[in-house]
Amino acid sequence: MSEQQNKKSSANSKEAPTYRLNAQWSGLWKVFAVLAALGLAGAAAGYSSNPTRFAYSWLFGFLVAVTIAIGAMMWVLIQYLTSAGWSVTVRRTAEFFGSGTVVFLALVVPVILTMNTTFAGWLHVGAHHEGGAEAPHAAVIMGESSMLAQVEHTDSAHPAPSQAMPAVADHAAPAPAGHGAVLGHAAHATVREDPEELLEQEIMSRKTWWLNKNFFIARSVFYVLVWFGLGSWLLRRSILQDTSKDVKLTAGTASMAPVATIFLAFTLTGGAFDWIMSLEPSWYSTIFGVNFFASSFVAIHAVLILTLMSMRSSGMLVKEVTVEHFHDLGKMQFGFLVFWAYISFSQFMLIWYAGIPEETTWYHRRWDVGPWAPVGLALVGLHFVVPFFLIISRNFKRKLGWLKLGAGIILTMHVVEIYWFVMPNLPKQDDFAFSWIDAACLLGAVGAYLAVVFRNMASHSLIPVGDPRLSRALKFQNA
Amino acid sequence: MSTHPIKELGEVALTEEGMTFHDVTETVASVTERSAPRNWWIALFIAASFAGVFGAAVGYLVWQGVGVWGNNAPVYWAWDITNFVWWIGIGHAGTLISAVLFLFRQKWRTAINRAAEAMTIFAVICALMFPGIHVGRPWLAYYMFPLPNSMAIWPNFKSPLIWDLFAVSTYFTVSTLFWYVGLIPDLASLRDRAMGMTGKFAKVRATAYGALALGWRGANRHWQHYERAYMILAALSTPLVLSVHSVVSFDFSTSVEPGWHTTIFPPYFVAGAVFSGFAMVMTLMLIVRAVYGMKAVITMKHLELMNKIMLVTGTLVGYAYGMEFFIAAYSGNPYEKYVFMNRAFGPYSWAYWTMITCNVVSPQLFWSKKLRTSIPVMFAVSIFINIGMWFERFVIIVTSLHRDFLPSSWGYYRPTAVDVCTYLGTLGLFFTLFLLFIRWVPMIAIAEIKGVLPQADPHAEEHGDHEHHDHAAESDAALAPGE
Amino acid sequence: MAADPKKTEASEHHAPAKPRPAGPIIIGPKELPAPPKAVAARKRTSLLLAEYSTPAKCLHAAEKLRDAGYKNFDAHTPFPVHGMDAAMGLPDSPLGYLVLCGGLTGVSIGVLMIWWMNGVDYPIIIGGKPGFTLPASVPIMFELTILLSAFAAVFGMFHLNRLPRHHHPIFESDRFRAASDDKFFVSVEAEDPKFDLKKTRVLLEATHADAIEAVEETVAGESPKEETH
Repeated sequence: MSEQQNKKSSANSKEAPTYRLNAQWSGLWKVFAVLAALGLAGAAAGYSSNPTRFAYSWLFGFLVAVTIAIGAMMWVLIQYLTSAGWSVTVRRTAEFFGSGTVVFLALVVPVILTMNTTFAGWLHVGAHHEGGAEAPHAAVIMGESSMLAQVEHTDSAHPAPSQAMPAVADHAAPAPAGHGAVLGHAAHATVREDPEELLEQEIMSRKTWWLNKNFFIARSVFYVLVWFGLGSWLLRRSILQDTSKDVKLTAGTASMAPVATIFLAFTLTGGAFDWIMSLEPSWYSTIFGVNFFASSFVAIHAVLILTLMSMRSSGMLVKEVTVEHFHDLGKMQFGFLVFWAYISFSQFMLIWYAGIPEETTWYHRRWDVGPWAPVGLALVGLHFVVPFFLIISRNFKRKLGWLKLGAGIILTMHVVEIYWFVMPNLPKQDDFAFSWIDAACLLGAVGAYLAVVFRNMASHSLIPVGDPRLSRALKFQNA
Repeated sequence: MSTHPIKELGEVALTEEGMTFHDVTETVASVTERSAPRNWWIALFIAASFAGVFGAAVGYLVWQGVGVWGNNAPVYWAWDITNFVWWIGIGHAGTLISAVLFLFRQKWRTAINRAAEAMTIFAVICALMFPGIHVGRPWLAYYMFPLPNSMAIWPNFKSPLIWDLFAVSTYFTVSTLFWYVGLIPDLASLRDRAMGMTGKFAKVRATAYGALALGWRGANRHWQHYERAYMILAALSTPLVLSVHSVVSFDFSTSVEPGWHTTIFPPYFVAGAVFSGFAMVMTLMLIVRAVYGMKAVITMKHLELMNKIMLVTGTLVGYAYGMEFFIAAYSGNPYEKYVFMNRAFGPYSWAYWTMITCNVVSPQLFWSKKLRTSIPVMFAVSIFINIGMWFERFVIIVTSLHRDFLPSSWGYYRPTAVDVCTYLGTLGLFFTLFLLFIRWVPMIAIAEIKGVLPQADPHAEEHGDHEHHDHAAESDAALAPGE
Repeated sequence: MAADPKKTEASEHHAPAKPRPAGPIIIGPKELPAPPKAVAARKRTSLLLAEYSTPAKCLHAAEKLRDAGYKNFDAHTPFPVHGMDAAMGLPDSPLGYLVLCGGLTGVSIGVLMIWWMNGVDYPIIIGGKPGFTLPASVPIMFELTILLSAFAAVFGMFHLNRLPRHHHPIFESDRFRAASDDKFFVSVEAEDPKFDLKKTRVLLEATHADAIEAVEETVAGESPKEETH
């Protein structure tokens, strides 16, 4: 141990400069800052020309940055949870990407300010029902639905749907929302009011306890605060160790990691539910938080691979991050790519198989109609099949060109996936086309995030020189 | 130097200090060479008796028909599928230990992987009994296979039950291959020891182990392909194990039954499976460790790490319970909401709270280092988790079915004596197979343990002189992760 | 799998500075260098076996044999020794390609079987889904991919290793039984073009071997099959 520390401290005094960003890179954060400024200016122009479009585009840009940061924090926590030695030289880069979360404190503000547009689906219902106006509505709908049931019964050969309710203790009036598709069929049988809309209102009124304005804002702020705290904490602890070499810092972070992971898991689930799932307010899927995590975690591997390869090609970390580390990153990338496919397929297949109308709306928009069907297929092909074969082989993972190509495709498709999550809910899908506002918002949000990340990168060591397991990472070889 | 454990981080060596290669062979192989301890015979007698009960219960079932079980409208699926899912789940820990931990380079797995893999195979055998018998006419089971049958109809490949058939039989086959491949070098060790033995059965042993060892001679040209094959099998088993329990979960979640149809089922079932499987591994290893004096190989560090994995998977299962409840409330769907309220406060609330206590509350004890390194505590918790995970499947299956959409179709399921005997009988079958395994097969992977000893590193002796010479396998080969 | 060959080569120069043992135990034909061909005309030396007590010595011996240009030699160890593949100069294992073929066969069989049985030969419409439909076919396609890949991995490995092979001249040696316990061996086959009982033995003696044995096999009209490759 003592030898090791001696060696390290001597190495530190001699080689410390090599663990810093070189001149070319240390100004990179300014480039991102300029890009962000341009993007933000564009986004502002977008807001004044098309506020609806801006609301969705901003949410998209914001979520791209959020997923990368979430993936980075989870990645760092997992290294602590598993006491990983191989990844120490890579970990600092991930910590930088986690430390960018500070910018979300600002980036989330437009999301909240535009919620009248993006989350109109539940926001107005909630407002409508505030003040205990539920009961009369429910009664109206009950009458409506039994009438509809009769219409259905007489008009077609279908048997009448069972309206018998399970005895829900706190359920004052039976509701027609259920596992039957019948009411949707009968939508045109009434002339007085659109029953689909009534049904929607009825369902929404039962969701206001969660989907209401104030609680939504509070939650959004809470998530970004947790991420800000966690991202900064992980980087700060690690940087403290650069100078103090205190082994206790590693032990302390590791002992807090389980709790931090639980917090991160619940906040990222919340973010996925609030910012994406509630865009389609009647839709719900229990796996969606896991789906969001899988997307983020795949993305961060691509980001790490691409960042470290670029650093190496400009002469940094050449000895510290070797083909062995890329091989391992490639394996993780591959494994979580398969995990992403597994989770995405499970969600799709279960919804497709059961065919319950409330659930199929999500995929109906994203898989069946409009410009989105080919995007869905492209996700299958380019977010999974092509990179799967690009990085399946050991030899390909160790040929850095292939790995880089795979990571590049994955990261691009990650952005497309977030776009595919958000944009199909933009009103007037018939004439949907890509807009410069989307690009401006992406540039603004991600640029601001990267400016902070690279600012931190420029002012700290690129590898955790004080980590007790550093020598294992330096000597690491795949067995 | 770097392979030395960092004491400040709580790292310790994986085996007791000073163990030689020969000690490993001797410790493990001698169990199969000594005569069995008396307790082994007693245990075998008890287990075999239960296995006999299983045979009788199944015989009665086949003779009389499935009416001898408690299943009836509206609970058409009950203990049979509960037991099936429970057993399959137990098997998953074996694959996780042998494959996933292998891929993640968690070398501590070497102490437990062989027994865990054996456990997988026996658990899958027990699981496979249930789909076989619950069809009522097992002689027509071939209808499930893609064979041209008398009605010229092919199987319906859109049925999740057919997916299950493919998944479970693939799982059984691949697990057996994986286990056998891992065994080959150790069977060669037993063969070579038998060659030097004298006595009545020495020749039989040498022939039997020799035949199974396939003429393995430890050649490096063989090790090269062997290691690659092992790695590929691990890489194949990892998605396989995910898929198997996911497909099991599809049996429920492709339906439109509230309480069954929820998209989190696949990963939730996988996490639950690993959770219960680790608990069963823990139960078995604690017994084996005490009876056969394996404390030098299965150290407290191993047990503690397994407890941590149980804590992690238990938390994942808790997350899934939470998501189900949250979405039931969030969805605004009265049926979803009803099912979950009924689970927690309806007629089966006793089962639900048993499940929560065992699965979510009891593993929380492992947050304390003192408790997770206490043998009695971990033994008790492992039993609790086994019980809790059985109840989880029972709760999912029975509470979702017993209140149908029409109140006239409500019911309350009670098991019959045949149900109970069938279930206890599979436990007997499982333990019979496991006892035979520890008697005749090296229960710890001899070659793999040798590979993680400090002296196994061919560059170990050079470290003193060449501190920064980085040609060696300086990975955390001989280390268990710390806190 | 292994260290870069150049690096392992470099390690040779750092051979442990341990005192050489007095000399290896010599087993086999007693009168060196003349093997007693006259005594047992039907016996033939089929390989030279050197025994080591540590993996490092065995590894260095393999490096020496590799550098001396031997081809038909092997190391026999109780567990896979890290770096041995490079020390012996072995090419990478081609097993992965066999497995890829197995997997592609599996997925093809899966999709063709389901398509033909449920979509063409006897379509059954169940749950409002067409006879053949991809999402519902994925689980079985996946399972068959894994099954056939696993078969390719295991049986491909057996094929590459030419196993099972219960009779091999090396088993004639009693000492060799320790190869599955705690001893490390290097064997050089008589088939090797560079094999020369005397010279090879001299080479092995210089590798800190604990024992060297010339293993003989009974030749009953057949010549032992080429095994290594």
